[in-house]
Amino acid sequence: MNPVFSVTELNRAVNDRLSQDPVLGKVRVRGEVSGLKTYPSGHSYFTLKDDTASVSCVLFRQPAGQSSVKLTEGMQVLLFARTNLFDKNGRFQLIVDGVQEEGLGDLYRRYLDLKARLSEQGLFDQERKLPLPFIPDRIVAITSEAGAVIRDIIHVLRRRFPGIRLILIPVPVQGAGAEHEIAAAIQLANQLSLGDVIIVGRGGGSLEDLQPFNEEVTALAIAASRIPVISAVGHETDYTIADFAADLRAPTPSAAAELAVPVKDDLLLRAEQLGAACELAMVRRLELAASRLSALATRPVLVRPTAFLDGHQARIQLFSHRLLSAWKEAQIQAQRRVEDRRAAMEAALVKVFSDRTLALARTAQTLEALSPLAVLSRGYSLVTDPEGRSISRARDLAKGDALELVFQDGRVGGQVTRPLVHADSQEEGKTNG
Amino acid sequence: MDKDRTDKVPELTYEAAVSRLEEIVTLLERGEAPLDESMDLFREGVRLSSFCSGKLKEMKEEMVKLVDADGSVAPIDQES
Repeated sequence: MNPVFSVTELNRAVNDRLSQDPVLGKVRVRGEVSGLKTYPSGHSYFTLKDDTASVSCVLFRQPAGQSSVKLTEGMQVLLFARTNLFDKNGRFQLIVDGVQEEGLGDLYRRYLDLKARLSEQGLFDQERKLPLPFIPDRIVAITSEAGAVIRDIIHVLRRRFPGIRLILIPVPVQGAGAEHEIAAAIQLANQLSLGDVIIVGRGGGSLEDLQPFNEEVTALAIAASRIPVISAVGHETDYTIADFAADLRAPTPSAAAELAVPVKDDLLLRAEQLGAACELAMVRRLELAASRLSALATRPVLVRPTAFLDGHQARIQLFSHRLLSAWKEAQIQAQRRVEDRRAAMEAALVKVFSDRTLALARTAQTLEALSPLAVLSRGYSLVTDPEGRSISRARDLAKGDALELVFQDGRVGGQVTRPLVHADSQEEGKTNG
Repeated sequence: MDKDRTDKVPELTYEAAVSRLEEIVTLLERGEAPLDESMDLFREGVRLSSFCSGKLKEMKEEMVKLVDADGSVAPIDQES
């Protein structure tokens, strides 16, 4: 009878046998790195695989640190390793002591080739990208029904935009043929117009896990979609062909949900702020109008409508004042002129009078000289008839005629006693007074 | 005129409504528009603001799973 082992004993025994085996204890294995995970401790875990099989590998920190080769996903390597059965779970694994790079893995090469070809066809061109709706009416999620991805999407959508509508098209997201189901789901969403934005994705994984998203059929379906597609595959660093073909690439499914919808509360706040700003602006506008109005209302022309006359009135007053004084001045001038004239006239008059008085005196002297009285005073006398008519000829007198003799001091009457004799006997012509 | 505008509002997308609202606020804040026009802008702005809020609030959640290619749906089993 074979002995009975405990599990621990069995694992330990197999492990011992393995490590001591001359052929299988230490091996060199060729394969492709896949599902590489490096932990903060520095240990790396990955799967080494070829077309048909795979084996778990662990690369502890120290060798990894020493190795000049940095493992990357899809890398074709030659491993120097010890075979090992992990005590705790009985899993066969390789403990890697050394790594030698042998080039890119087949999957990775296919990925690069497809990417180059589709890129050349213009499938990834920026002009092909469809704009996302600002607020989608309904979101279509194409992913696995189970798992964290759809839960993350729902969680983010509910948080950001409560009330959003979501329709899930469940598809397998890994394994053979998954790409066809994914492509068919995208086509179905378009045919039935299930929504106005599509999120297609899965969680992170190894290159072969992501393979459905690196297939041409998936890329073509995404590119052909009339509904904008957000790709959400894996974790930040993994770019799939689907990512390049999508209208928008999100690093994770949660990020895709964030890109798909805005934050509703922000929008509500914005709408309310704008409404308030609108009211405030209107209040300000009215205040502006009111202040303009009151500024106008206090303008002098409205407060005292006759104000504009003030200037005129003042000028008129000034003019009338000037007019008045000018008038007075003119009067004074005129008065002065009149007075001047009168004075001149008076002077002239006085002069005339004095001239005349002088002339008169002179005339009077002349007259005096001519006066018969003056002659009489020299001893002559004047003969007149009784009527006073002067008698200058003797022949005008007859005997007995009455006559008057005028002397300087009075007159006497007489009678002709002897008429005319001869002119030469003047003695005889003498009156007998 | 006012009637036309009221009729037009429901046809607006949220985005168009918000951008028009922003435009109105800018116009009003500038204070250059004649008062009558400002009043019309204000009315439109208030309508747009409540339209936007309303449109955001009226959305009804519906999270479903497509179960058949003919478009029939079932509630998403959140526990799965």
